[in-house]
Order: sequence, then structure tokens, then C-alpha cells
Amino acid sequence: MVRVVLDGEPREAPPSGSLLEFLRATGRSVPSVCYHPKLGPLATCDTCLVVVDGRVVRSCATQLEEGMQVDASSPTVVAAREAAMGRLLENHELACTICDRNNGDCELHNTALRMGIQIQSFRPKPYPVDDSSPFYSYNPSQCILCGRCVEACQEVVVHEVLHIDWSLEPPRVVWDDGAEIDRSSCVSCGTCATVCPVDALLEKSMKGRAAHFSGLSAPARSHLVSWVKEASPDLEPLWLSSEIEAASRAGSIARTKTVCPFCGVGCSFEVWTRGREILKVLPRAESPANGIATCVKGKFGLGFVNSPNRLTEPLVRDGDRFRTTGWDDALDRVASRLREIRERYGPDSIGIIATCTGTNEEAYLTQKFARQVLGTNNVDNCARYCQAPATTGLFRTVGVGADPGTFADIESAELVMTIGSNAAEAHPVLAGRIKRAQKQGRLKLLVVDPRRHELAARADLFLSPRAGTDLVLLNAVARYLVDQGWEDRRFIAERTQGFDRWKESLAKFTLEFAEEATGIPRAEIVRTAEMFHAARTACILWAMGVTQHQNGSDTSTAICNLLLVTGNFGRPSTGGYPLRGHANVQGVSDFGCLPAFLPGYERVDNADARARVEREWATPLPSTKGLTSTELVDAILDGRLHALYILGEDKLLADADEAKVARAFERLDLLVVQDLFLTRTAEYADVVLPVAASLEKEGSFVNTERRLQRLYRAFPPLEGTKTDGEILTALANRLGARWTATSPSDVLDEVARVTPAFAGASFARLEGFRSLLWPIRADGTDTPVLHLERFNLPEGKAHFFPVDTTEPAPVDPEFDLSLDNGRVLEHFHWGNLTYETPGISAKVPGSYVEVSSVLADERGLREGDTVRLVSASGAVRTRVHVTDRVRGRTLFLSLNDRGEAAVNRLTSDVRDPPTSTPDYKGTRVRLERIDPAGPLESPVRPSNPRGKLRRPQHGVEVAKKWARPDYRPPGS
Amino acid sequence: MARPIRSRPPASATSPVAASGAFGTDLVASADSLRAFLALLRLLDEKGFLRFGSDLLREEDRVVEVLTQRLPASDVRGAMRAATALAAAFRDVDPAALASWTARVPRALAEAERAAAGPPIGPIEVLAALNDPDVNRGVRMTLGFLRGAGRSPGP
Repeated sequence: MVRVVLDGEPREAPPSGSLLEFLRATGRSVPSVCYHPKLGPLATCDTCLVVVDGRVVRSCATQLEEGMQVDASSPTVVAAREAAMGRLLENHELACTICDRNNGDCELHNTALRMGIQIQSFRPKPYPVDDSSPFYSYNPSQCILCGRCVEACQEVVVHEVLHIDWSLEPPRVVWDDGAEIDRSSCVSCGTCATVCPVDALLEKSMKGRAAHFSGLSAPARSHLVSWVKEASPDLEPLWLSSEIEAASRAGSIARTKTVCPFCGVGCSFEVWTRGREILKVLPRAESPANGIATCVKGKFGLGFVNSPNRLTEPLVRDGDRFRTTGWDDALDRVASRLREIRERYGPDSIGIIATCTGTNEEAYLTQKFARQVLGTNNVDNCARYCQAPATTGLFRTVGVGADPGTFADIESAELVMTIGSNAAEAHPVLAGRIKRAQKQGRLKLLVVDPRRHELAARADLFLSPRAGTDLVLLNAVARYLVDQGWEDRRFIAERTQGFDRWKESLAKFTLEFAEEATGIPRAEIVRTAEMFHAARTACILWAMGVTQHQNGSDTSTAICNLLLVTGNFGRPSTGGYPLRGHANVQGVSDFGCLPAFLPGYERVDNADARARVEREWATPLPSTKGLTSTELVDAILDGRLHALYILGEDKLLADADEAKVARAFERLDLLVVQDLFLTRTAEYADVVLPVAASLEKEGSFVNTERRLQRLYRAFPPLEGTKTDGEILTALANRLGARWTATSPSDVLDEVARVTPAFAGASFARLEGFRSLLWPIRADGTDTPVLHLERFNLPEGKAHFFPVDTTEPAPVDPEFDLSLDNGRVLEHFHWGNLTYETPGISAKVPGSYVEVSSVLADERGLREGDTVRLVSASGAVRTRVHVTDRVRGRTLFLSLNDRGEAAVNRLTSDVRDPPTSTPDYKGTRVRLERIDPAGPLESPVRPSNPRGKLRRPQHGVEVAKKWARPDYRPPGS
Repeated sequence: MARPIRSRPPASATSPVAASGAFGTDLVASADSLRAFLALLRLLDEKGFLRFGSDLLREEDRVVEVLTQRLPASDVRGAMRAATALAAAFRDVDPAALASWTARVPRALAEAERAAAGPPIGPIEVLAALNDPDVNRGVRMTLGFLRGAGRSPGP
């Protein structure tokens, strides 16, 4: 503690932290408009002034020191603050009563009100409103130039688009080098609008909707404001009327905490609604995974919930058409057909695929329905298409198939390596945390990927090995480390087994061999090893670029081996992190929707675990491993599987080799699909059941960190729909089960009873923004970092697991190009959800194939040409975008197409043997040109942020403000 | 062989209106009035008045709290006086006379509509119209009303 004198009284203060935080802790109301706890001191508004040892200073930017004499309330201080506030108010016209931000949380309003400000001298800026973005607008005349948006853009999410041009008269916020928002490099994450303390940056969903009297035209508003100003001598009528307006508004605008339904980062936020209308998404500083950050999908992409295309009645197949029916008829029909098929062909003739965007509680009910009600372990989820090989790699080496730590561990590591992961587009909020740490010089970034995507462009070292050779690169780096004697001998001796045998397995992975196989120069392989050697803590993040190969499990294992030999497991800021792709793919696996595992990853052939569940369910359970999602397709085609029940997954588009999956669907005796929309998979269904969206239900998700978070119901399910849990319960009880759990909370309580890993999980412990990382002990203690004491393997030690190269499938010379594929930032997979948001569709209306300039020159291709890509499985038609993001003879086709450019028309069902995950990334194609493009027919719209020049800088550059001739220093 | 079906059926016909029998008939009979009423409602909603009114009522506790916190009683005194005077003026109105006066309003509006549809009139026609005893009485009432409304409410 340090001792200070505050307003004449001796006080003790914490040794670190700002003076502002200390003053607030003492209960003083200190104005601080530009300060935000997630942004730190910006020092732009000059309202938090105090006098320290006789000098007027900004308390936000002043660190506590022993013996400080602080004057926080004298007339001098008050006058200095009021002068600063007056200057701020020159930049913002107070019209709070008709302002969409008047929700009780406008910091300028609240501060001015608390300070008793009664006079404003407003000077409008001579710039028009920028209304070009479909998602948010910027009104320079209302901008107080606090710089929060700039700080967030430059230093939190690190998109590096916004800055304040302090040289302008008057200054304003600028996108890139002065572009309109919709023509800039802005990726529409919306974080700027989230942190804006006023209504200068405003979500369009709020604009004209949140305030009462929102129907007033702009001239009418202007006249009204002028009239009120003329009529009243001071601001008192404004304060009174706006306070009444804000108070009245609170009753009709609900703020509900939820968790984003898209990727596995697990961003949590408040969703503001009036009835079913979504006014805005507001992440909070206390959001554990994301803080104040979001991406375009989470912030602006929830439009699908109110789409007119939602299914609202059950559909049943009637010859070659669907007809609507009531819920009782639909459920009776499904139950009786499942009963018939089970009796005729046995329980293993039925398969279930769980939804990765449903809740944990619904996942638990899904596998319970399969195991208890139907009597089969044929239950799987979409992790089969993506992360099952990563889980295998982790199980083999450290014994737990999940991320060992948190995002805080990743961003506090000295070295982060991403491999086969385009995190900036697929996991953008996590990527922001990595970019921030790198920009601030806290970590080195090493990227391995076939594409020069955003993180690759930012990397300290970027390696682009040939497709499918990541394992060779990893083993060569490991061997070089060992050859140099750089292995962590103490860690290896104390915490691992199998080092010597593994070391022997590296014999062939010389630098020469690796250079030949991967195409990476040996010097760069050496540099990679040196970066690992130099870093005290390292994390490796990987995704589908690793796992969706026929050696996905082995490459994942090689990643873990590399981390073990450098001692990078079992400590904070270390470990191997597969990045989960769906909002709850981690939870669906954790809660037992896997053919070999009960909830909590207890094997189905583990008699003790099974007995515990059997006692709870009062039913004997099947003990042999079921079929994986991909094996279910094989089983349909060879006549073993007769019924498939798919919850919330568009399997036709998600699985490899679309034509094969379609053939399989056509052979089924019963296909039941439960979804929000009539998906491509639902088109094959016998019964389609319309479900509620996540905003319409209670429950919990687990993100990629193993973090359980609650979601609350923002509004009731769309009329005619039911939650997955309600449907499963109704079906189970029709089939003779007696499920009595009436709420998701009851279900989580049951999970806690049967699953040691969730023994302490409960809704009460997940209240609000609280979260828990499993395993969770009965007393509620959670586990942010795994393996600190022991690994979950025999003797508590990690295992080096030797892996070798896999003989690649023979390449038909006809298919001379390698096809990479993956997500784009704006769309979630094929776009079933995201195309329902018009702004997103406008920016990225479809997919296109990325072609290198080298290949384009060689084939005479031009931007916008229409081409056919043909593989051994099928063909797609798409348009060309020439870019240096891809190299040589590698193409990239994004996933966001549901028709003639759907990427899985091209992929094959070659699989990773341990997991049956398809080798999506090993696809070979040939390219045929169909139509030449007309002039300026790029498939990349002008509003697409790609290819624009960003404008990086450090923060808001407030020194430039202070250097302006019209700047008046604090207290002057 | 389950071939894909790419189109959705129309929504089922069992809508609440179709099932409501006589009430549905009434709705149809009142269609014009309802449309006008709904248009008014929509306008009130679009302009924010409807929501504001309902929100004020819903949040009356908070609104009262804001009012009582922000408005010193001394500042309200003048408004209270004006409201009291207004109430007193209404107290003096004979209910029968008020009913008689309000009953004339529709007739006056109808007459106004007819007059508005006629040819334009000049100053001479205006002076001539004052000879009409009904017009003259109407002007006298209007001037009297304005005089009463403009008078100070007193101490």
C-alpha cells in the first residue's frame, strides 16, 4: 500500500493502479468521459482533473505514488473540470430527450447532469453524417473526439481502420485515409459503436428505433431542439424531459445476457430487444471471453432469428411435396416410425446427429434419447467434420481432449504459433487478442498456412508448406531442437514418458528431408526452432487446416509432441489449443454426443461409468462404440442404417462428397430433420420439425476454452416452434420414457449427478456473466488451466506419441490443382444463418475462388471470370478472384455457398483413419474457364473490406491534440 | 427413394380470424373504421407517441421518482396554479351548456367542409357573412373564449 493525502485526509491506497480508480474506490464521483476500463487512460477529455502536489493533472493517467497530496474537490478542481466539460460540449449538441442513446448509460449525459451543467455552447462540425455502412453510422457533429473508438479499433480488436485526424479543422474520426465507412477496410465488428460514449457512432438497428418520437423527421427534430433552447434559459428542461424519457424507455427495452450462436470463441453480450425487435448487441467489460469485442456476425448477424424464412409449422413428406401438420401428428409420426424401425432392424439401425448450436442441456438430452430411449451409441456431432483429430492428438499425449488453458493464457504467452487456422476470419475475437499482444510487443507470432491471410501477413515468421506436410515440418522442428540439446530436460524427466522412443522416431525428419517435403527452406525451419527455444512460454493454435487431412490426428499429435519437448504443457501461458468452430461444439462433445463417450468423456465400455449413468436412468446402456457421423453415411448405403435423426445440422452441405450423402439420404426409411430453416438436408426429410433459436431459450454453452456460460431467453420462441429440449422430451415420452425434467436447470442438475467433470455445475453458479471452466468440483471450484499437477494418463505423465508420415492418396494428373477451403469472416459456414442478414448479404453475396496471379497469368484468367472446378467427386461453378493470398497452383474456395459452388461437391470421403474425419483439405481439382468477365466484374464487392489499405497507429495519438494551437491545457 | 423437395407449402389455413365466426363477420363489417383506426394507431406508433405513452404508464414509479427528484416544489408552483385555475374554469361550466356546445361541433365541421368546397370569397363576402346571425354568434363566442383564455389566473 502507498500512503496519500486526499482532500486533507491521510489514506492508504493500493500500490498499483491509477489515481482515478483509487478516487472511485473511495466513493467519489469523478467525471471521466473518455475513460473505459477495457481501454485504459486515453487522456483526451480532461474531465477527470485533480490537483496533485499543486499541479492540475488527469487522474486517469496518473499513477499513485507514496506521499501524494491530492485535491479532488476544491473549487479550483471543480472549475477546471467544468471548463473541460464545456469544451467537450462544444462538440456535441445535447438533445437527449430525442436521442437513441438516452438509455441511462450515455456517459456524456450522465456526467454533465452530475456536474450540474446548465449551459452549452455547441459548434457543429462541417462534415456530413456517414451513413454508408449497413450496420452503423458516424455523425461527426455529435462526436466528442474522445478517441475510444480509435483505441478499440487500433489496440483492442486491432483492425487498424480508425484514427482521429487532428490536423483537420475541426478534427474528426477518419476511416483508412478518408474513405466512406462502407468503402473502407472496416470489417464491421462494431466495437467502435460499442464503446462510443455518445450517439456519434450508433448501431443502425438503434437509430430511430430506440428513442421515443423516433418518427420525427430530421428537420422537425432540428426545429424542436432549437425551439426548446430558445424557450428555456438553461438545460434544466432538457435534463428533466430526457430523464423521464430514459426512465420510461427502460420498461420496454429488455437487456438479456446471451452467448453468441456462431463460432467457438463464446462471446457473451447483452442483446437489447423491444418485443422481438433486436435493437443492439452490447458486449460488456465483464464478458469473460471477449470483453468489449465482437465480430460482424455476433454484433450484427442475429437477423436470422426474425427471418420470414423461419419454419413455423412441422412439415411431413407427402409424395413429392411437403404439407404442414400439427405438432402432435408430427411427433406421433416420428415416434411410431422410430419404434417400427427399432423393432424391425434393432437399435443400431438408427443414428442421431446432435446440433452444435443447441445448448449443453439439449445435447445431454440428445445422447440420453439415443442411449436410454433408442438403445444405441450411434450419436455424434459436427466435431466429426473438424476437431475430432485434434481431440485424438490431445488424448494421446496429455489425456484430455480439450484446450488446456484460456484465452488469457494464449495472449500472455511469449510465442504463439497458429497452424492451419485462419483465426482472423474464423475466430476473429480471439485473433484480436493475439494481434493486440503482438502489437504491444508481448508475443511473437508464428503462422503456418497455405494462405497469406491476415495473421500470416502480420506474423513475425510465416511459413507456407505444401498441403498435407505440416507433420513433416513439426517433426523436423522437434528434431532440430533435440539435436541442439534445447529440449526441456527437467520437464521431460519429471512429467513425461516415452521420450526416447519418440526421439528415435524423428530420425528421418532431417532438415534436408523436411525442406524437400514441405518446400520450406531449412533456414526457416531452424528459425522456427529458435523461436521455440527463445520463448519461455509457447502456445500452438490449430484448426481445420491441420485436422481436415487424412493425417489430421497424427499432425495434431505432432503438435502436442513439439509442445511437450519444449516443456509447454501444464503451465500457465502454454499448451495446444484446437480452435472449436461452432458455438457449442465443445459442449455437445463434453455432454456426451459422441459414439464412444458418455458425458464427461467417460468411455461407453467403462463399466463403472456406465453403471453410474444406468442407475440415474434406470436402463441398461449399450457398451459398444457407435458409428461416427461419417460412418453413418456408409451404414445407410450398405443397408445397416435405416433411420437418421438430424438436429440443427445441414449434413448434406457439411459432409464431404455431397453426391454420396444425397444418395444415402434417398435410401433412408426415415429422415427427421430439426432446424430453423428448410435447409438442403431438410429437403430430403420425411418430417421437418421447426425449432427455436438460441435467443429464444435458456441453457448453457461451452466455448473452446472449456468455459460454461449461461444464455437467457431474450424473447419467447417464434410461434409454432419448440426448443430441441421440448421436442426430445415429447418424443422420449411417446416412446415410453418418463422424462420429468421441466427446465434446462433441472437437466444440468442431472448432468452434475452423473458426470464427475460437471459435479459442481449449476445455473446458480453461472448467473449473469459468471462462467466456469470444467472440470468443476462439487464445491464449484473450476479449472482454468489443466495439467498443472498431473496429466490425465497413467502415472500422471504426458506421453510422447511417435507419428510418421502418411502415404498420400495417389494423385490423378488430370486434377492438377490443390483446393484449399474454409470460412470467410462474414458468413457462418454455408450461410444458412448469415445470409438472412441483409447487410451481410450485401457485403458478401456469395463465394468465389481465389486464384494466384501466377496461375491466372498461366491460364489467361481475369478477375471475375466464371470457371468450373472439377474433381473426382463432382464439379462447381464459381467466379475468379485473383489475389496473392494464395500461391502457385493452390486455389481457395470459401464455404459460403449452398448451391452450385458448394465446396463439398468437390471433396471426397478419404478420411483420417482414427477419427473418420474427411480429408476436406486434400482435394485435387482441374479448372475450366466458362465465361470471360466483362469489365469491372469482380466478385469482390466494393464494400468488401478485403484488399483495402489499413492505417495502423498506436492508440489515439493524443499528443497531436495537445500540440494543436487551439488546445487549452488542463486548468488553464 | 426420398427425392429432395425444394419448396415449402403455404402456411396452414387455420388462422385465428378464420376460426372466430361471428367476431370475424363484425370485423369485416367494421373494416373501414378499423382501417382508419389502425392507420391512426400506426401513425401514433411511428411517431413514437404510442410507445412513449405506454412506457410512461408502465414505468410510472420511475417517472414519478425522476419528477420529484428533479423538480423543486417551488418551480412547480406556477404550473400548479395554472392547472388549478383551469380546473376552476371547467368547474363553472354548466354541463348541459357544454353538452349543447359540443353537439354543435360536428354540424359546424360539416358546414365548414361544404363551405371549403365552394368558390373563394373576398373581404366583401366576409363582411356580408357577419350579417348572418349564426355566423355573428359564432364570432362573438370565439372572441369571448379568447378573452377568457387570455385572462391572468390571478394570485
